Amino acid sequence: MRSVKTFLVFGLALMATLVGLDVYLQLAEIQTPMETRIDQRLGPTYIPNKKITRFTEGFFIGSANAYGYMGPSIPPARSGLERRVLLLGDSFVLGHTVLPRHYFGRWLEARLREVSGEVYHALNFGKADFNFWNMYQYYKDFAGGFDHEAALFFVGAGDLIPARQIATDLYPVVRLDGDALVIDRSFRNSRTFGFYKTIEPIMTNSALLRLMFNAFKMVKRGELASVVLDRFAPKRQESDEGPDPGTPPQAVEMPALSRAILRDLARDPRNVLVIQRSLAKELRDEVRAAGLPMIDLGACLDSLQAAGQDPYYWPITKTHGHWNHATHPIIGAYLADQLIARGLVRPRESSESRPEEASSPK
Amino acid sequence: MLFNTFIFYIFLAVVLIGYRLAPGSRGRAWLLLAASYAFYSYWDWRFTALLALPTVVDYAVGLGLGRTVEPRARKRLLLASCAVNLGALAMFKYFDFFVGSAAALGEAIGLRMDDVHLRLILPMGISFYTFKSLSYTIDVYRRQMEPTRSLLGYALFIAFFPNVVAGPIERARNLLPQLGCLKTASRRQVGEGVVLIALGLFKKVLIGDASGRIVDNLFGQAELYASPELLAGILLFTIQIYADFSGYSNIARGVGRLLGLELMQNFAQPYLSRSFSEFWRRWHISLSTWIWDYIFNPLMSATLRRVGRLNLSSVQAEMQIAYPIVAMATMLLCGLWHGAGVTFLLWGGFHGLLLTLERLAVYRGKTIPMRVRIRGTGDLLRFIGGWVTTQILVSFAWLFFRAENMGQAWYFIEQILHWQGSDLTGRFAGMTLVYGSVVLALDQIEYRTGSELYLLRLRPAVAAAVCLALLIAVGLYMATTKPLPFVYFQF
Repeated sequence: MRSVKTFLVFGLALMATLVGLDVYLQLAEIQTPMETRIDQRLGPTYIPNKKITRFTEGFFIGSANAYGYMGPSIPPARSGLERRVLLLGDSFVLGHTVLPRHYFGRWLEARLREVSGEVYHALNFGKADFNFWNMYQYYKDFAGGFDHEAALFFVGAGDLIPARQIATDLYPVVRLDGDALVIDRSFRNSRTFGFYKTIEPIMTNSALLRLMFNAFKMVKRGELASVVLDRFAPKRQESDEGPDPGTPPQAVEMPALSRAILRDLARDPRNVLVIQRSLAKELRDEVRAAGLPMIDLGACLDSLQAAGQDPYYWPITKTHGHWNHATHPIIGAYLADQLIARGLVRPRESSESRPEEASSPK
Repeated sequence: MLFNTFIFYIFLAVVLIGYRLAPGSRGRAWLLLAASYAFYSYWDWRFTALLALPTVVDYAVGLGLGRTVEPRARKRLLLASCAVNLGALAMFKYFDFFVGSAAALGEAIGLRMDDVHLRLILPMGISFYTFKSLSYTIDVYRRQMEPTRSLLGYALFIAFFPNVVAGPIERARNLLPQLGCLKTASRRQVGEGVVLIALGLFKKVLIGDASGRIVDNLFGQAELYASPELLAGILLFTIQIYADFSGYSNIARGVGRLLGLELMQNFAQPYLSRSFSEFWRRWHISLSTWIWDYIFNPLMSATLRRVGRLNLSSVQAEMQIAYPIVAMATMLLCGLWHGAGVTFLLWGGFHGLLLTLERLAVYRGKTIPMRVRIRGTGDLLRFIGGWVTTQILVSFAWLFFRAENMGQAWYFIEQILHWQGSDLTGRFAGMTLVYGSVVLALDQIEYRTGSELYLLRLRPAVAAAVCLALLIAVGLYMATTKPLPFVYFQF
């Protein structure tokens, strides 16, 4: 009897302390709980107004807006004379490595405002790990519903030739049905979806469970040995130099699905493909053949590199990763100039601004 | 090998098993010595020679002092010890700083000096083990302790892995006798050790490292951040350095307990201090008492002797001249001990100034008791005023300690004075408030219970549950986040 009581006291004290620690982790923003929930139509989406803090190679403090994407709350319908540019892509576009005010979208807005004299908003629809197919689905299901002047799809070569669609048990899948592009939402019947739905209430409210989930992912990535054994861990083959910004893979044959998506996007002159790093000639030809305009960031990033600045290097954490603080303004200004050059944005007639200088987004 | 990595606990488990199985005190000592050198080699094996140097020299000096009665010969032996210890420290830690400063001064008066920087890597913990070893020879010289006859014991005293890289700067008088008769830990000591490690890890990892990540970003690229964020950066560093260092000290003491050894307390709720002299009695106690014993007191005696020749009206008048000189000199040296740089000198000098002003203008030589007694509104207001003033100035001083250079420190001050809000003010303020509240709450509990081991006052099942919960949370964070080294490792 006494041991049962001791065990109960132990269990209660353990639970109480864990709850206390969870509250502390959340209030101090050491670890935010899961910030996405699984939407029946879209798959995992940001919970509206959820605070997000990230310590990656950089540092991010921000929140999802009332509509479930990053940045200021801008509703689907235009409210006045403002103009919009949609940004779709993976973690590079999501920008969870810099504060929201240092994000390239803010620099893009500032530059466009300076040149056109009109208020521009860059809407961040980036999502980690998204490839071209996911972007298309997200655009069709959600982002495209926001009034816009231009929609930029950021891709690396790997995104155009994805090995597979991410987490097909949790996300809708784009597929070809004959010549038609179809969004398949059968993920809603998957066991994983059911499991996530069940644990969603606690995962979206517990920082400790989020940490546990992160630890589980770390184990799944095969990093347990290096975390626990440090120098004694067996050497792994691949180097962990941060996310791949789009290194051309060996295979350069465009999948039929990518080709069909390119053709579909090309029907709307507001759509532009932004190449994060130079594409293989064969892929470039395919994009051209589809008729989708392209902006290549390769030249812009190369100019940084030539000036002795590594666009992916983070001096504080001494790691390579996403675009760093110095790169964001350059990307923003470059994109703005390219949009103007392509006629997607009209400069004001008496513009005195010089194209090589972007003003601060503040 | 950092205390906030899993590999350290694997290492510790192996050492503890070996320690249990080792035959007798001598066997345990050999095992601990091997473990300590392995621990230090994990960082860079070549620097183990630097550990061995003071070991051999000061052991021999100690024996020499034990055999010699002639004062001059004794002094020569002490000077030899100081030369070796401080010589190594000067070469690795201060050479480049002084050469650089001399070159800058030379340039200012039109002289050009060739680049003679050594660019040596600073051996981890060199300031700590140098001071530890020096205290031994000085104590033997002063005849405050007998020289040890055991080279094994002395080698272990210098290299003892729980405190070799960041203290506590243990005195030979306390640790050497314990190392001479190593016993396995009692049940009570094991319990205390686990509690100290759990609390230490919580402080280090979930307060120190977590806030340190923000601090590193804010100080790493200060030009990107607005006034409220920079102010939060200073306050968060104030929290980080305490949580980091006191967490480390807790873990070191906890590991010591698991080996049946009692290491000295290094912190006693410093952020509850209501004066600067109280702060220095509560902060990094092993260093402040070292400085008190081996620098401040001898310097004070020497200065008073000289001031005495001035034939001033009273002893108090003599103190009013001697104290500022000695306090300033001592605190400048304390700053320099922490790092070879102008910012550290300024940090030390600022504390010296605060101590002097407090002593001469506010308390006029009265000692402030360590326990607060509030008997009325006046006492309460004095307490609040003293606490707020002390903490604001201590936090301000940390800016110089953390800043990469004077330019950066000035940039922080300028930006904060020319206040410009930010859309993230609330978020940064919230985080700072939470971290600060937790640190102060932990200190309050320690203060009220008068013990760092307050968890052991709870029911054993509750204490065990709290420790387990802390270890689970810390373990998950450690598994998913790159560990940050201890701030004091660089000293």
